[in-house]
Amino acid sequence: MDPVTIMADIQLAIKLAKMAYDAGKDMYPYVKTAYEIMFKNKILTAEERDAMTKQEQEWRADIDKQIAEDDAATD
Amino acid sequence: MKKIVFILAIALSIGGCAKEMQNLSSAISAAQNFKITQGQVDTARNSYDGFVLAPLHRYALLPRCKTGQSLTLNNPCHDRKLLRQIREVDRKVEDAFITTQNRITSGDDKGAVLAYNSLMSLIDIGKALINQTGISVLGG
Repeated sequence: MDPVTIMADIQLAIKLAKMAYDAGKDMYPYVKTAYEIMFKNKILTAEERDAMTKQEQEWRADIDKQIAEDDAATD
Repeated sequence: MKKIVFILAIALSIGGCAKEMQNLSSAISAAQNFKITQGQVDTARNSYDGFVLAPLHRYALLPRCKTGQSLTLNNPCHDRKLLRQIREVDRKVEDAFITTQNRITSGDDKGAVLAYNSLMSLIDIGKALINQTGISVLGG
């Protein structure tokens, strides 16, 4: 393998690791909580529910904003 | 550093775990299908947020794909039609969670079971669609 190919592979691996890390960072708290409810009988507090609802609303607002931008785009 | 490695490991392995978690959740639901508990709904909601809504949000924030393009590692982008389609399902899931929660709160066990089953079907559709995006390879 030539050095250019090796460098390209390393860059791709770093990119994949970064995307995996970012995705895992978003998912991790929810998966952990689901696990705790299922296997450790965790009961959500009112604050935890509010935080979850707030986060869902923020995500959905971002998604709707992007859909509106897509609709307005001419490309 | 340890935390980063742990989160990376979770992200890469979670795709495989998702199916097992879902199967286990379904088995528990089937065993308790005469009554839906608050814990079941909370588990479903957290699983949904982690496996569908969070990846959908990340997908939406990618640049828009040009005609004929699809998401690849070298060209991360979102398909506008697919994004809209998943959001429509997400809207139904959102409503189904509210309906199920209302049935549980009002003590309508039979209605809660029906609403919960309907919710789970919608979640399955959402999961199938998020898998189509390609972003789920990393964690959906």
